[in-house]
Amino acid sequence: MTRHEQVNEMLAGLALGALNPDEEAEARIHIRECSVCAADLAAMSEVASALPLTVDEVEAPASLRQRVHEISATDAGTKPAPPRIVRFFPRPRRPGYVGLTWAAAAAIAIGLVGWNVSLQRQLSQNSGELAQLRNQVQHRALVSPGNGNVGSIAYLAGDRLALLSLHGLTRPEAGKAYELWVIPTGDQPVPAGTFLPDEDGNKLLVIPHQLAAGDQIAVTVELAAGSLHPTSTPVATAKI
Amino acid sequence: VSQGLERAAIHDALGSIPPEQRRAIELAYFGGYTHREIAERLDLPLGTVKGQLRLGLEKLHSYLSGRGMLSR
Repeated sequence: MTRHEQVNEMLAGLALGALNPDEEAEARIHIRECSVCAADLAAMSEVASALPLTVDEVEAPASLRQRVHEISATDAGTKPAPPRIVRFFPRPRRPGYVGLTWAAAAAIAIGLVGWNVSLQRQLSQNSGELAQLRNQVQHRALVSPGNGNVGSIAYLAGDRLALLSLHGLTRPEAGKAYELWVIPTGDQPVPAGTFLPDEDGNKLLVIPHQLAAGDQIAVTVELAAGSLHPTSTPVATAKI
Repeated sequence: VSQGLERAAIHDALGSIPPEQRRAIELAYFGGYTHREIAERLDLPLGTVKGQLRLGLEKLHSYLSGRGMLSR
C-alpha cells in the first residue's frame, strides 16, 4: 500500500477526530502535499461538522420547569424570573483526546440555584401537585470519601431527568475540571461531561435519559478537555 | 434552510446509512474513541473500522449534498 493509500484510508478518522496524535501528524504531512487527500478531507470534515445537529435538544418538560420555577420563587418570596436553560452540544473531540458522550448526547441545566433544596422543602407540603411530584422523585446522597455528603441526586423517574446538586467543591487547578461519570451496572464508566463549580463551590446539573436503577454516578478531577477513563479518585459517588 | 429542517435532514441521513457505519461514526465523533479503540471495542479489524467510517461519511456526504446542504 502506498503512502497516499495509507493516509487516504485514515481521512474519515481524521475528520471525525478519531486518530491518535501520531497518526494525525503523519496524515497531515501527506495532506499538505496531496491535493486529492486535501479535497477528500475537506468534504468529510464538512459532513462531520453537521453531526452536532443529529443530537436531539433535550429540555425539561415545560410543566416541570414551571413547577420548579414556582417552587423556587415561592421559597425565596420573590417574583419568578424566567428560567434559564443552558444546553450543551457536542463538540468535536480534540485530536487524540476524548469527546463527551453524555454532553454530546445533549444535556440541559436549569439555572435555578437552590432548586433542590427548595424542592425538598416544598415537597413536605400537603399539596396535591407537590405530592405527585414527590412521588416521582428519588433522592440519593453524593458522598465524598473522607468528606461525607457533598450533594445529592434527585431522579425524577416520571420526567426521566436526574438532577445533581453538588456543593463544597473546590476550584480545580488550572487546566483541570470536574468530570461526571455514569457507570452502568457491570459496565465501564462512561464520560458524562466536564464542569466547573461556581464561585461558591456549587454546581447543578441535569442529566436526561441516562440513568437506570443500579447505575452509579461518580465525579473525578480530570484534564479540562475530559478524559476517556477516570484517572483520579472520585470526589463524589452515588448509586441510583 | 432552517436549523430544524437541517436537523431533520441530518437525522434522516444518519438513519439512512448501515447501522455498523452509524455506530462507528457515533463512537468516533460523539464517544471520542479513536479508530483503534473502536476496533477493540467492537472486536473488529482496524481496516474494517476505517472502512466503516469512510463509507459512512461518504454516504452522509452524498445524502446531504444531494439535498443542497453541503458546499462541496
